[in-house]
Amino acid sequence: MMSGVKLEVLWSPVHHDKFILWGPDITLYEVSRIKEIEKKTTFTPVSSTRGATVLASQSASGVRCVDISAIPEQPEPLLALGYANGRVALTTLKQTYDPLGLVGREFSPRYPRLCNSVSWSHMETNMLAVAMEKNRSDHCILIWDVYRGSILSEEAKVTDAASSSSVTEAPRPLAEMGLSETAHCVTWANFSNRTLIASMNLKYIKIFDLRDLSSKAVNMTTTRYCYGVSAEPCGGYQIASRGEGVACVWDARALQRPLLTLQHPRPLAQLQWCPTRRNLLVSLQRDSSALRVYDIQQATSDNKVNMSDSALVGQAVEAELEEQSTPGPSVIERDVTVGSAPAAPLVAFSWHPAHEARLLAVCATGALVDYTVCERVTVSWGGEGSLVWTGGGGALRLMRDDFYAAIKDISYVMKRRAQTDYGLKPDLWQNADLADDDALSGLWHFLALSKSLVEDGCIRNSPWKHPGVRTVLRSVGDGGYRSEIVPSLLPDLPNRRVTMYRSAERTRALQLCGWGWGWENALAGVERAEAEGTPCRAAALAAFQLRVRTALDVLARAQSPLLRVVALALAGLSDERLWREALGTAAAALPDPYLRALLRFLAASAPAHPHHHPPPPHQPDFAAVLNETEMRLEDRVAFACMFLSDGALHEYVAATSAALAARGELGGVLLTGASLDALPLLQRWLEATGDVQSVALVAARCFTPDLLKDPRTTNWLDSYRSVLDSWQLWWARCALDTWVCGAPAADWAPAAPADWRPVGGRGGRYVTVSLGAQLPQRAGQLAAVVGALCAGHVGVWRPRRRLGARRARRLGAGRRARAARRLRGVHVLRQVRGRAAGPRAPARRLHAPPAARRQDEANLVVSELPQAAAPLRRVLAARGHGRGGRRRGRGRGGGGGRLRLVVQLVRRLQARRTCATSHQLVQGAHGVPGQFVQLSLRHAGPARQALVTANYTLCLYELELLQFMW
Amino acid sequence: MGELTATNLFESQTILADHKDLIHDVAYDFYGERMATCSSDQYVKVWDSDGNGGWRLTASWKAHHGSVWKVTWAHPEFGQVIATCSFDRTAAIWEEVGDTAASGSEKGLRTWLKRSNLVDSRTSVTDVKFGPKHLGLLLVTCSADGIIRIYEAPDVMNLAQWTLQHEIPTKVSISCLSWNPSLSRVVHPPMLAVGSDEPNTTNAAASVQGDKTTACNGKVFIYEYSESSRRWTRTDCLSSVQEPVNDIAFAPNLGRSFHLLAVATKDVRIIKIEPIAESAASGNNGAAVRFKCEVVAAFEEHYSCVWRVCWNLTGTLLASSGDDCAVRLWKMQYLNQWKCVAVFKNEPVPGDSPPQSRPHTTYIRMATMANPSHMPFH
Repeated sequence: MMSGVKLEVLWSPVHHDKFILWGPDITLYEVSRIKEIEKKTTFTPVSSTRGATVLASQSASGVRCVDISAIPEQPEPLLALGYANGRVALTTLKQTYDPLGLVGREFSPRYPRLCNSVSWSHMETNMLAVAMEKNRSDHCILIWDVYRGSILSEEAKVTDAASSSSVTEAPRPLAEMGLSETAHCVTWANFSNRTLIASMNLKYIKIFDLRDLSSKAVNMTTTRYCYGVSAEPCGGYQIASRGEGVACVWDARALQRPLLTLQHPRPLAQLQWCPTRRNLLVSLQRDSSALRVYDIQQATSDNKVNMSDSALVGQAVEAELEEQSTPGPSVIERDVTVGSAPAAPLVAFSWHPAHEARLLAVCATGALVDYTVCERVTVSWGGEGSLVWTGGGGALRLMRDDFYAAIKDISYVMKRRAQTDYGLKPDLWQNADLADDDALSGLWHFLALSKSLVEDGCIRNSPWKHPGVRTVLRSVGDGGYRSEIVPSLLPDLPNRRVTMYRSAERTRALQLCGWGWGWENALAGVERAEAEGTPCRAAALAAFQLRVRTALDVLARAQSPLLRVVALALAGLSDERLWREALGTAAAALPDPYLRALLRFLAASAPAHPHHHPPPPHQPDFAAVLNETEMRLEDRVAFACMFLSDGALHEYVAATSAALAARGELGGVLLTGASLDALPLLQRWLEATGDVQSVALVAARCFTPDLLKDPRTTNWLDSYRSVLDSWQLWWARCALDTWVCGAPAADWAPAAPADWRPVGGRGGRYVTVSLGAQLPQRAGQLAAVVGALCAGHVGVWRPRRRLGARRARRLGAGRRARAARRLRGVHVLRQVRGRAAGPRAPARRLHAPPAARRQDEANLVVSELPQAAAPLRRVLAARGHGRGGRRRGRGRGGGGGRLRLVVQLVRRLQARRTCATSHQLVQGAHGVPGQFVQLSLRHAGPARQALVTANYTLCLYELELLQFMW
Repeated sequence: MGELTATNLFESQTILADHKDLIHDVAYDFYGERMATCSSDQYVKVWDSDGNGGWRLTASWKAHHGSVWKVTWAHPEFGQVIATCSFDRTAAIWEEVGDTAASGSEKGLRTWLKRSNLVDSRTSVTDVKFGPKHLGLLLVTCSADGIIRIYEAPDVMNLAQWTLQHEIPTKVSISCLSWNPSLSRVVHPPMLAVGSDEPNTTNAAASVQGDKTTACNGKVFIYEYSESSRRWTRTDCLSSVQEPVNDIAFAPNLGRSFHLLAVATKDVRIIKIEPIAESAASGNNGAAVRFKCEVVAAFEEHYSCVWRVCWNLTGTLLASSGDDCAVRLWKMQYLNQWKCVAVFKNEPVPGDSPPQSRPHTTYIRMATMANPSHMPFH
């Protein structure tokens, strides 16, 4: 073991791929990529990608301290070795070209004694500082100029031999400090040249200013923690020192007391500043396998620094901070385990001089680890799905959303669907294909079916728009119906009979399951199933309709020979024990659930009794059939509707529905319909999949107003709206709200033309939003769309020609108005008449949109009905909306008691950014009827505020201005 | 994730942020079109997307006198507003002033004005967050001395005026906080989660234990606002998190009946917080447990320390970063099962070229993971 032996490691300051390891020997290594060297030479791996090869080595006997020169011309690292006798020798470990003639030079003190530390200056690279033990008649710190005050060792020997008295030949140090003192450690400061920091006499830190060699000004402090001084790189004034278990940070300008005193549980072995990042100090404790990293935080209070960028700052940094005392520095502490494996204790480390946060550590075992200390990586998701995190070197790394596609996250899927108008298609079934998902597709198909049954009058008196099986089964007085019991013979198996149940409710339930009642409907289902390539299902459906012959025919036509064998087994149906036992074992082995169900159904059918016997009370046990859960839910439910008695059916449906709801299986909507029962199921499904979109859309399309008021539903809708906002899919957002506030007329086929996006609206009676001249419109693009008059009146304005903002500004007020009028060629794309708005909305004639004739500014004009006028006016007056107030009288709607409320919306939309936010100004405000809703209008310009709406929840949404890029 | 093969390569884009020091936080705005960064160099920078995947620096200013820890955007409804907090013991609110009339070299650079400086803290302000927008314009800060402060701008038009509404002392150092983003005010009262980075020394534990209200040595606390008492009270303390917490984030609620809280501590933790129905909880005079908390996932792939956690828009993907220099994505599988779906490593070969000359794009391998505990990048 090498423990106990001192091991040190040191990167060369100029050769970025070379370092020395200093133990019993001094070895020079070169670091290369393993790929490049693995074939050629032996190497010591230092990391997963790098290996170190030995370049040269020499014995280190007698060597007390080492430093590598920063002289840039040196082809190989030039080492200064400090020996036990005080001699300092310059050497390169490798024989090489020596342009400066420095190799072999030696420097000796007058009196031999232990050399404690050597340090090359990195500023004046010829300066070498040497720290030595005490001698009462000599100085302990010597500064050598390696070019001048040296002798070559050969010459030294010669001169020794010749005449040791030749004083003139003796080298003279550049400077000497500390007469009769001890220096433990020296290092050059980085904040000014020729400044040396030394730990001395067990209790001092001294800073020598050597710029004027005659004065040698000294700044000093007394501390027990004076060892191992280390100067902050990059010109900072901080100095670190250590003592037993304590690290201190000092400010070289104010040495009286340490800035920081950092306690460590164990004695400190090493302390070093990170050369590539400011304020990062790393300490190594004895017998520790982790490095402790201190990030020193200091608040600056010098305002002079800021002046240079005051142009940008504006009034950013004010003087208020000066009044407070500057808080002292503090540290963020962090332990870094070098390497990933639970490492052996570290004995030394060395920061790489140039590469960011890279260091080389030596374990007690002698192993070398090349490690990069990872900085805090911060990470963030964007609303659009892009991911950003901080990489090395102050870079931001961005991952665009294409990787989303590969991850197939629900947010990606949802966005894709939203872009295709998923859920917004006028016919429910149209959404099924867009979903591209079996469960969702089934859901939409079912909802469409349910809706059509209601519309056709098959299902009446349903409290829900989209009833499910449970709803229809108990629609007439909760479970109060009685079914007619129909004992039936299987026509093709005359010795078999089953009991079927019949009632109007069951018929409707069967229709919901897609089965229909009667053989004609069923036969169609059978043929469909066969055409779909599921002969087993077709056969089972036929058999459940008691048409065993048809079932056998289907199976006989099937491709698979196995199915024909099954047909054989079916045909041989009997009560013989042999057959039943064979069935028991064979059924489980059948691959298809429908085949198993088919066999079990037939086996469960009771043998026919003589006609004069009354049917026994015995109920055939169909549980085996219903337990085939791989069968489709609708088939199972339909089967139950045909063969289970009222009580059993009720129980079965209730239990199944509860189980499906608990699992959050979307198929359960077949049972619950879009009813109150569906809420927990959809909630569960949402929680399992995260698909708030489908749930919100189903709610918007299919829920009754009562259900829409449920807090769960509003939460879904609000969440989905917020998601759409974030994606800036205004069309989808608008259409969603239109659906929520009442299904539009059937002829309304919302489709988002490529070049415009409407503003959805709802609720109120009459709302006009128009945007005038100052909007920076783009040719042919829509400036604004307005939504929602009297529940479902959607008008779209399309400017006929473009009027640049700049031009509008140039025009005077009058001309501006005229210009704006030209702009206003309004084009109503589509009008939709919805249902009446409510009790307080008499069938008032809707005004066609071109109401806004006079607005000449980029204003939002809101017209409201008289009921709202008075309170609105009051509020406006109280709020002192000057401009709004002024404009109020000018509205065309003065007659008829109509208030025109001018909301100063977008006065100066000068830039894209402004517009991009301005849409928010008219954010949906779902106000409580009868109350005012405060809409905050705000954009990057001067603050605006407006009150909009009243009695009739006004929702103006997202003027689509932001789509404009310029 | 059978579709993901090891050959799936995805391009990541590199932007040189040119901060002079470590970047502490990156925040996207509501639409993901703008980005703000803050750094130890005391600067805040704002980047705008050009719509084609490129990003342009549009503002850069010295915002504080110390390291800027966090930056956060207000909902765009309130304008282009960001808040920053710093080691210099202040939090600041900045608003962009749209001035594009400037010409020449100034063109394209936006001006951000400091609208308000919140100087109540006596120690470093460690986190700042705007409240959910349906609560109005709220701002919460927390500081190293453990005080949570909730500010409100009573007039959303006047960003210069912020009133300190609540001051909640916690007695432990608070490092991070997160608003519950739930939109449903009926179901979920305003809620905050705060995380403490107090080291686990015996002293701290003793002092925490000494206080009756905090008889729990967890590191994550839940505060809720009671409409009736008009106070924020600590309603829970997650005892499952015992190690110092570096970051905390509520997932966007998106209609769930429960909340998901990601905690960056020794590991990445996802905690499901399920409110217990009022009727059941109110039995013990309000002192009853309000939540059922369950740790649904704890991943140790980041070695010993996780720095940040962040949710995507739907709360179905979690990104985390940690001591292993990697960003990992965790995806919700069916029914709240979570697993790692991708690992983005910062190149482990720094120094082969100086950072400036690094290739502009790098390729990142997506991990194929049968078993989340076997990470191929180890």
